[in-house]
Amino acid sequence: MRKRSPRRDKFKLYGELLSIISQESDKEKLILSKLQNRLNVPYDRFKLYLSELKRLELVEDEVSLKLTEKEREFLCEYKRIRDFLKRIGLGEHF
Amino acid sequence: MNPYLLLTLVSIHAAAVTLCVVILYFMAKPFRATGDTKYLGLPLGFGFLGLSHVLSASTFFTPLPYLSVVAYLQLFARSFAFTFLAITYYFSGSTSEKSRIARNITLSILIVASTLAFIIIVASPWLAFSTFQVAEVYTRVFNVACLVYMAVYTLRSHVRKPDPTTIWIPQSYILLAVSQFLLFVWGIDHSYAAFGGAMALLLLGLTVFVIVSYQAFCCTDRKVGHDAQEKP
Repeated sequence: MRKRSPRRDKFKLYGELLSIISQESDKEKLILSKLQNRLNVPYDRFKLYLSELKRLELVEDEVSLKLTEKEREFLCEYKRIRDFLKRIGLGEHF
Repeated sequence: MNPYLLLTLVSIHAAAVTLCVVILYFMAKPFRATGDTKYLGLPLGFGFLGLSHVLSASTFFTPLPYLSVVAYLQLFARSFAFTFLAITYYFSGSTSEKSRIARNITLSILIVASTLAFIIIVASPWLAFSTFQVAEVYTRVFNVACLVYMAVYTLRSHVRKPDPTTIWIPQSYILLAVSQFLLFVWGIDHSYAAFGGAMALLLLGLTVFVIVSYQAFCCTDRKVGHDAQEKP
C-alpha cells in the first residue's frame, strides 16, 4: 500500500509550489498538469493555490506564472527556514 | 562578595542573556513565517532561558527577604524553557490532526502552568523559602532529562540523514545537559570548578546555537540558486 504523505501547512505548500514554478520557469511553456502532479494535489486545489499566489502577488498571473520580486524573497525565506529547521533537527517533517 | 567575582558572574549571565536574545530572534522566524504552533515552543523556550539568566543575575542585587523568590523564579523559568523545547521536539514527529490538538493542549497547559507558578511564588514567598533545596535538585534532574532527550532526538535525526550541518545541534544540547549536570553537582559540593565548568559549557552551547542559526539565515543566500535545482 502506498504510504500517505504527511500533511503540509500552507507555508510549505506555497514554498514547494514556488520552487517547482522556479525550476520549470526556464522551459518554454509551463504545463499546469505537470506542476500539479509534481505538487501532488488534486487539480481543483491546485487552481485554488494558484489564485492565492496571484492574490498574494507572488506570481504575475495564473496563466504565465511569471515570478515576481516578492516571490523571490518568499522563496529565499522559505529555503532559509527549511535549512534552519533541518539544522536544528526539526526538518524531517517540514 | 568579592567585586571582581561579582562582575564576572554578572558578565557571564549577561552574555547568556545576549546569546538567548539572538537565538530567540532566529527561533521566532519559523513560527512567524508559518503561524504553526508546532514551532511556538522554540521562541518560548529560549525566551524563558534568557529570562532565567536575567533572574540569576538579579539574585546578586536582590535584598535578602526576596532572594529565595527570585532564586525560585529562575529555577522554574529554566525548567519551563527546557520543557517548551522538549515538547517542540516531541510533537514534531507527527503531522496528524490528533497530534496537533494534543500539542496545542500541552502548550496551553504549559503556558498557564508557568504563569501560575510565577504568580504563586511571588504571592507566597514563604512557600519558596522552605522547599528551595529540594526543588533545586528535582528541577536540575528534570532539565538534564529534557536536554538528553533533545540530544538523542537530534542525534537520531542526524544519523538517519547524515549531513555535516546537522551534527552541531546535538552537540550543543549535550553541552547544555553537561552544564546542567555540573550545576547539580555544584548544588551539592559548592565547588567553583563545577560552577565554572557549567557556565563555560552553557556559553559554549548557546554560542553553537547562534552560529548554526546565523549560518542558516545569513549564509544561505549564495545557495538559493543551487537549491532551485533540487526537488522540493
